[in-house]
Amino acid sequence: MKLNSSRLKTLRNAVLSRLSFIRSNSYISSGIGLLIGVVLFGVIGILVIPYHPVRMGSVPRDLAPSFEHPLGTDSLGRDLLAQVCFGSLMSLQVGFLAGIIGFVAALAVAFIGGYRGGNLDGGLTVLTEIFLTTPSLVILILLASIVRKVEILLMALIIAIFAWAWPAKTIRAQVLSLRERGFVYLARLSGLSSIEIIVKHMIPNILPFLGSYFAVVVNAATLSAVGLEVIGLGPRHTTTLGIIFYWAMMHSAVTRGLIWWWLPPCIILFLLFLSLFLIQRGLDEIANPRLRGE
Amino acid sequence: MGTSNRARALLNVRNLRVYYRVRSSSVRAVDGVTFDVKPREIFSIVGESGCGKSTLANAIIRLLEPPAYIASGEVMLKDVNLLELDDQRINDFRWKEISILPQSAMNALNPVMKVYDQIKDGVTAHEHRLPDNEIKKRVEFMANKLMLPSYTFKSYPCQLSGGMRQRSLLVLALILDPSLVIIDEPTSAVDVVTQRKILEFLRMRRDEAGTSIILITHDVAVTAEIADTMMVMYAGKVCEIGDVVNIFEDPFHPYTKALIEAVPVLGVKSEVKGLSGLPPDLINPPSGCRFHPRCPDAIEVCRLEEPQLKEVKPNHVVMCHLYRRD
Amino acid sequence: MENLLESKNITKIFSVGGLLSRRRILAVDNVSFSIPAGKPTTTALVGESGSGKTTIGRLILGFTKPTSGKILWQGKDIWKLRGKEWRAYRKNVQAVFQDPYESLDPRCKIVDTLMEPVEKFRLADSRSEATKIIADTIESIGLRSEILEKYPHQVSGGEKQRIMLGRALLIRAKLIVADEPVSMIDASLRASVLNLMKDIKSKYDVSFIYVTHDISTAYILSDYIIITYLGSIMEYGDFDRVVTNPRHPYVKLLMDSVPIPDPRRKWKETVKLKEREESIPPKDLAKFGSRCKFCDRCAEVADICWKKPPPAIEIEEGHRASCFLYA
Repeated sequence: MKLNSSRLKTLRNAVLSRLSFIRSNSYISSGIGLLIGVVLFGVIGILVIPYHPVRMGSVPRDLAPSFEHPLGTDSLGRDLLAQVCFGSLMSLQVGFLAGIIGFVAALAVAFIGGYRGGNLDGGLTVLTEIFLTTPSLVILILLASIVRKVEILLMALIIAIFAWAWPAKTIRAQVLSLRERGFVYLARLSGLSSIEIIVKHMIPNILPFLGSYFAVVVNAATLSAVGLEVIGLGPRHTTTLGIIFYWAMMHSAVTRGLIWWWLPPCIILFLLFLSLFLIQRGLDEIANPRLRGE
Repeated sequence: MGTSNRARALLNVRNLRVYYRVRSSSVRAVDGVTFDVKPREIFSIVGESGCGKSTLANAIIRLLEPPAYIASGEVMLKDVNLLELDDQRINDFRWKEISILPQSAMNALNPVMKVYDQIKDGVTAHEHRLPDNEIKKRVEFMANKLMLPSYTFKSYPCQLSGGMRQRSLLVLALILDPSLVIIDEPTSAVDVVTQRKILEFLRMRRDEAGTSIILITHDVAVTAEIADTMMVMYAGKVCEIGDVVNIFEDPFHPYTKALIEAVPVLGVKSEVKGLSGLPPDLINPPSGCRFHPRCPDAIEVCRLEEPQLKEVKPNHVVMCHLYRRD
Repeated sequence: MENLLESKNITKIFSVGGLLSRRRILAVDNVSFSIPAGKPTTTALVGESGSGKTTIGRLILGFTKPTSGKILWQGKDIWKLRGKEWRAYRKNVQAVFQDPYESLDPRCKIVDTLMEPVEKFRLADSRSEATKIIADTIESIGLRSEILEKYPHQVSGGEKQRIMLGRALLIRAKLIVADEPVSMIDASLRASVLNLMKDIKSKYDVSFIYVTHDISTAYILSDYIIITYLGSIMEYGDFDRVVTNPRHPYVKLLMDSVPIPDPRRKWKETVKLKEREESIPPKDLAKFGSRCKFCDRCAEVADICWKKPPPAIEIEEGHRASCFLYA
């Protein structure tokens, strides 16, 4: 099957038609817009602001907001606006990384168990339930405190340990019902292998669901990350929104009334969660037309 | 139907139009339907998907949900126009004078209540004067005639087969002894023997209790088995109304002919005949006679003008240009 | 000559429920029948819901494995086939499903769905050749090739079923399992699908297994009929003989209850058939399997019917009934 210009054109049209559908859904477009806004904020901030976000003592400490330091500086001698911009990108990175790792693992578990059925499915379901019902924050805190040097990737892996369970269960439910649909049986009659059926027929038919679940997982992962970071278990030698908040708490920023220290990370976090929620809600509507009020 | 029959009829439906609001236009699901049902009669409304028969049923008993609405017409049950009654009064009428067994009702039973309790609930909602032992007596009587075993009413719906749930709902529809019952596709999801039980019960009900039954079905063979009169519908319009024996012997409307010829008969190994094309779009129906694009006998005028209902024999009307007065 | 397809004593028990409440359902109980090779035949598999006919269809198509017994394709157990032999079975045994609105992937054009088996079974050397044979097949069954570029929602139910039949023809299948192919289509639109099935059988030597609860439509297509009830075969044989001369009490009742589209011929007496006394499914699987399935409702039941399952007894040539009345 050669890739010639007519096939490229068909592919391009297919992608464009999907995109236009997405554009027309206001939840998704506002969610994506907000997310892009946060990313741009971070990127532009890093490019423009001359101060280092992590190196302590790079600027005078405890400065109030001014033209040179729009958000002031913290008690460790770092520019706060630089931290917030950099930290936004880092928080996003952790959240998405953990989300992707967890989601891919969930897909594997859900499809292998759901499609094959039998004892394998039974075993995987029990495993999923165990991870779902275990109090994840406690274990995460335990793990994070045991591991000596936490870096972003390691943090993402630790969070992914629990992030995969909910999507695995939900996607499996979709797989079970999808497996019984006529066109899946027809694909079996056409001699397709299980992998081919899953990739060509099952996944495309639940893409909006998968997108929605992915947004939920990233949200949950980001939240878990923040939970660890605010108690000091975040990745070292870098900063994230949660870590900024941690340092703010460590230096009693609230009682000292240093609102420009602890409030901005909260606001950006809120905007991140909001954007992911909007995207998830929009994808939910596409997946489930009844939500559109039809 | 001549005016002399109108006085004796139990139900008169005149020019009923039921439309569905869809964005800026309307789906003309029932578009000018007129017919009478006499007492002690099984009146079958026959048609295929999209012809409007279920919409018609729900309109008569005032159970339409938006976006459906009654655009015009009247429905006279014993000289009372059901369409003009307010909600309170129509509730008094429902179940006591006229009741309905909707399509797929067997799936509408409350799964966490025993069947008998649901029947009792239904009765007391419409008639609180009926004492408990009277309810029990009537339920047992009908259960017996429908050959339902004793454990049926003490069970939960999930413990019963589809056919048994359907028959339980039939008991509910008939328990207050209405003079008219509308039954929508009672047998499409049941096996042949249960279907026979239900149909025979309906026949017995007509004979012994004098109940009139409007039987809505797509199955022409079922109509032949128990109906007295049949009305053929297509795309929201009436094609033909008449005595069942007469229509089968000598169908006038081309669609009626096609419907009858489409049914294979056990013992007759002939080619199955059918219609080409598909049922029309009811937002923009075809001009003139709605059946003309698929009609094997269509003539020029069919495309231009809608035909009028014409009496071709006593108590037998057809809406077709082939039988215009010349 | 060995049979095209043979089912040998197949039994299927489903285990339903979770760890704490398992229920076992005897869906198919020791069913044996065969589809002959050499000439195209249509065998109607008739029964009400719960009779096991759909499960038998799924067993034949290899979608589920029998708990015991074998399905033989040209003499070989389908669950032991590998490689080329397995592919031959897969190619030759195809299906048409009941719901035309579910059988085609809504995201694929018709031509893409039809391309899959052509590629998988290597029926063409290049994509352009594949496109040609697909178009030719579609036209040979009376549809226009423009339909290939459409999506399933743009095509009617009847056309979709014909496309499914065309697909089986395209693959050159030898056996098609048609599961209630017209039950979801209006009566006046069934003719095109039923006539196509007749054509395919006679012109291309394809055998059919027609699974249905509607005996009337089965009549115009079928040579043989198998009637099942609660997982067992009640009667089996030449269609005309079984329909005109039913022997099993359940089958007699069934044939008598089929409504006839002739108002001058109505049912004479009220049907007398008790309901099943036990709940569904029966609790004691072992007991259930060791007696006649119909014994609790049969008007002509005898003591022995409760103790042993009846054997299949030959009434006349090519006509067998499982009933002690004829032992």
